[in-house]
Amino acid sequence: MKFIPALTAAILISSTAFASESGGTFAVIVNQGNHTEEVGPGTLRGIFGGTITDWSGVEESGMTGPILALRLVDSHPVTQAFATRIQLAQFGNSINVIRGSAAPMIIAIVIAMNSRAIGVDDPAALIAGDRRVEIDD
Amino acid sequence: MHVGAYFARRARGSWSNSAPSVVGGPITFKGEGMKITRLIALLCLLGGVANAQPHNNLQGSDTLAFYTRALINALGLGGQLTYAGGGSALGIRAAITARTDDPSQRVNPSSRFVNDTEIAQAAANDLRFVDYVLGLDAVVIHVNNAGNPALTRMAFSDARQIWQCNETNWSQVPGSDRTDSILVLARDEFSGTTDNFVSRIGGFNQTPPDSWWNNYPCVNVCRGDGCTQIIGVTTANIANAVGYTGLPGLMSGNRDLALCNDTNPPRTCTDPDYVFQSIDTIRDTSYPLARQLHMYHVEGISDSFGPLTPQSDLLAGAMNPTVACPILQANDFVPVAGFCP
Repeated sequence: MKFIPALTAAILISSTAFASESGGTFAVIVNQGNHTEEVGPGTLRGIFGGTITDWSGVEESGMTGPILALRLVDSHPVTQAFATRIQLAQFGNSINVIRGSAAPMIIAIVIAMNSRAIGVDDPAALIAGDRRVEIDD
Repeated sequence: MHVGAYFARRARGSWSNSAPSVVGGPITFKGEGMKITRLIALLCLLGGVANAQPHNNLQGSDTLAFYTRALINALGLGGQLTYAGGGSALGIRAAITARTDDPSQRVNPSSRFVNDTEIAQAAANDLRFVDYVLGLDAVVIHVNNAGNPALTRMAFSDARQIWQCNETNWSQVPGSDRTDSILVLARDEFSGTTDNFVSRIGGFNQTPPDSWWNNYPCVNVCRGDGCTQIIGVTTANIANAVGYTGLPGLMSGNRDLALCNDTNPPRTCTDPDYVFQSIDTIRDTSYPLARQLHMYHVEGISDSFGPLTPQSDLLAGAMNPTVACPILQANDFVPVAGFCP
């Protein structure tokens, strides 16, 4: 993995956050160096369900290498909104789960630093180095 | 208990060599040579057996996830074996129920020792753990290098105060010149790294077993096989962060601290008592959070139950310096003295 030096950018405020019927909003984010623009709900189910573990399984990315996937805890509104939106019954055991008051910030930072990372996060936590991915239905 | 005494009691002499040792259950072997002979014989017998089992997806230490996956690839076992990780506790649990599970996990990578409860649970299933020390590691406490320049060392008592949320501002931490809040990071409750950390620092309320970090709400907890990197990246990039991981969590931007164990008498630390991790201080256990990394397997107490291929191949690969040493090095783990050329 390649890491860039310390962050200097300010938090970016989301203008296109996804919303679900549960009322929560979420953003699917990747590293800015990842050129994935859109990804289908089936692919997201594969990634966050744990059946797609390498970027070679995400055709849209043009990348290879192991996926580092991150999310918040099951009870977090962001997680619930995302699972509802893509109709994911259960997250895979391989997905890294962050819990705690700083969890959204930690996910945003790790993704900004790691070109192979993808996460579901609070849109308000995004920072420079992160890039939002659209869900292509 | 001093960590050296701890290792001496639990490791049964395997600190300076790589011979497997039985943990729990009746000790029936006549000596180290007999143990090795028996294990080699078992591996030879099983090595040629065709794999009739379903695909094996092993649970175990997340610290050892990259090591174990690299070992699987190096041995060409990728079509038969995958490694899910999940934490040392989950791998140990799976091994305890190996007699009844299908597929059955009989080998489990672990970054901590099996405990007395787990040994008893295995014995109730007519199983005992056999310990092979695959390498050495250290739990390191790390902070942001540029953001916390004055902080170079920490006593266990201060670590306890930080991770128990009694010290929540850097101004309360001896040696730090920061005056803002502390961003605290930890591995989850199933993690062997967490077990090493809290059992040696002491004083943590570990109930309920699966979510006891909730007793300490200032702590941000990471669960998953990427957490060593995740916590490392966070301390490397956030000025007020502090976390603990194995050695692979150290990277450009963060820095580990010299540690002093003041849990036991005389409960004070003078300058020479603070020790940085190094190959030498890990091997001689003078670093307070030095630890062994294990490739356990279970075997029958009263019968010949044991690992089958491909799991036995994985175990044999961990014991083979030609295969294992490059992987230990790539993961920044310390080989047991004499194992690697």
